[in-house]
Amino acid sequence: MTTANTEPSAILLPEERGYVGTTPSHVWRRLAYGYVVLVAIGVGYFLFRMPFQLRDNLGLILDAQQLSFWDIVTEVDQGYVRPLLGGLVKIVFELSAGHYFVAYKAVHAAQVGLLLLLFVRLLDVRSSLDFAVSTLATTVLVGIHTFNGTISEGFPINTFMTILVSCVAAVNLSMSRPRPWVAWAGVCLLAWAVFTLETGLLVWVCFVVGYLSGFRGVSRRTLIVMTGVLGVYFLLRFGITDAGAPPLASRSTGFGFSSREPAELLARFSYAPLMFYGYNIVSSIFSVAFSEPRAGVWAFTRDLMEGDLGSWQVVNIVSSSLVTALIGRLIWTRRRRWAAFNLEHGDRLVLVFLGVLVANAAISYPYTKDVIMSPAGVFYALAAYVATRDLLESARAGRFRFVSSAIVTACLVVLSATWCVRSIGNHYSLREQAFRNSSDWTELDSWTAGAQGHLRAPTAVALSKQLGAEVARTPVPNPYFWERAVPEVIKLFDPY
Amino acid sequence: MNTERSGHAGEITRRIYAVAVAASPLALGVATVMMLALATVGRDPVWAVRGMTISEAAATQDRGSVVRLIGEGVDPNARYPVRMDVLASAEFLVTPLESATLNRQAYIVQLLMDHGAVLRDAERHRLMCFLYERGNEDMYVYLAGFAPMEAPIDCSRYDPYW
Repeated sequence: MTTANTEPSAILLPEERGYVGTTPSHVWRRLAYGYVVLVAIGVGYFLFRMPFQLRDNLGLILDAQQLSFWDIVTEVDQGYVRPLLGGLVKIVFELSAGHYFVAYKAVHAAQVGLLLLLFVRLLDVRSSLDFAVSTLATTVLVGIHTFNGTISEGFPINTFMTILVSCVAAVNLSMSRPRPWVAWAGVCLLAWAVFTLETGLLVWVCFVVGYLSGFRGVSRRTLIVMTGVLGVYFLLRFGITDAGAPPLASRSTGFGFSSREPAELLARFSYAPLMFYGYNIVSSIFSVAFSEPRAGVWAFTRDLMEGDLGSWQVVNIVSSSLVTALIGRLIWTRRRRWAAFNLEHGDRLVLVFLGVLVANAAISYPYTKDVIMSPAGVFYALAAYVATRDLLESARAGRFRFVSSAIVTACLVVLSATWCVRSIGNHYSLREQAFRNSSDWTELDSWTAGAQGHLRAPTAVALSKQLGAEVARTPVPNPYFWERAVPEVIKLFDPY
Repeated sequence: MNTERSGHAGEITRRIYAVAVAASPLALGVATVMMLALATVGRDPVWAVRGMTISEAAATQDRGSVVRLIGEGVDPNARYPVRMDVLASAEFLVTPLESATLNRQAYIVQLLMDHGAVLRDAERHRLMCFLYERGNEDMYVYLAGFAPMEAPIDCSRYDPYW
């Protein structure tokens, strides 16, 4: 495999970007990194305060205890080909030396930190303006509803977060200078992602769209090898194992104004599955762009018609609509340059966002769920950065008009403040999740009674009790008293 | 001259926009620093687990705290204060079982009994009369199912909770 390529790096030099300033660019870059490190520490602190989940978690930990690595990676379960999901849980289990909670939480927090660092690297911060907008983009990333599931849940390693890191790492590799190790790293990254979770296929999309839009970190030949990896995945999924594709209505999902059970979905769509799949794809795209619908349910529209709108719904819709309007403005103003393939770094990021958005929605065809769209949510934050920065840059060239400037300033304040509320809301949801997790562990005995096979081995039961005792010793805040103290504030936070 | 003035005005506008964009996230960053600083000295304002009695935990469906407090040696059969507006608009001194029953938490009642709480006849009698008076049939039937009790229950002289 070779990456020989004579094309220049896609990253523009400061003078090419029209950078003019008195403070050295590396100061602003370091500030941007400092900001995301602070955010990562904040999220990490919340993660460490949150007990393990019981149901989505304990079974995988006990698998890691009872089964060999080979048994775990060769297990095909319920139509999924995710060998590395359990494989990573096993590796961390063996390396943890009995400190399971600390080990798994450390991996989760490290993933969050890595995601944010790779994210800010893509922003290519060089000026005070870049830094200002990067803080907003970070807030969008952490505040969007699709991000919530990547921090509030753990299996015990959140594999959705693994895919986010992989996707952002893919674009980082794409925009770097072409070197042999970049190509190999790209192929390994793709293999890692696709065999961890289905949305790992988006890593391939990131590489391909990145290449098509002008990033040259990986060559065409490397992309062919990557496509071969994808071929192996599909061969494994459809040829060698019985995993196949998810059946129609494999689980309950939203349609219209409410969530529907599989039986109802089958009755309604068994003769027109494409209509159902199309609905899910379109819903997923709208969900990222406008925070409506959520998991296929048009709750904002329904509650608006019923006069039962929550404050948090208004916050979500306003914040997302403003950012989407900015992205729409950017696409409109750049359309001629894009048609002529005269692309800058930011344009490429927006094109990758559009590619990931469509591909992510397409992968969501069987059912829609916020967290499945989390890769598109991350790239939405990237596009928000490019679009907001472009708006601010355009102000420099334009004439000063008091009224229009005041309106734009007000909109930017609202945009920034509403995204901060959403970010705080996602942090707050971790408190709620901690409370739920703590409560769920009181059902350990009934969980153990319902467990089968190796999950009932004496050593497995002993480990379950040990983990349960650790949770029981961990105090978590009771949201009842918090909600009583600041009820109006809580109403601003997304409860889902 | 005009171009220069226009450029200067544009630069000012751009800076105003930048402040508008970054002010909230930076304020959030400052708040995060303060929260983490307070957390390091054990005064975390966000995750603080404030003093709560087991009866309050039972009333608010806090199963984790119920089990934790019993594990720490709290007697599940003693009476503990429940602050105002949790059960009603006054403070009460009740057992965790009474607290859970008054807030119609059958699951918590079972959890407490699994961890050593005992529903005494006098307590059950008072609770059942109160539930009957309030028309809470579900919890009444639930309590009645625990053990045989002489029927009909005489509620003519019972002491209501509120």
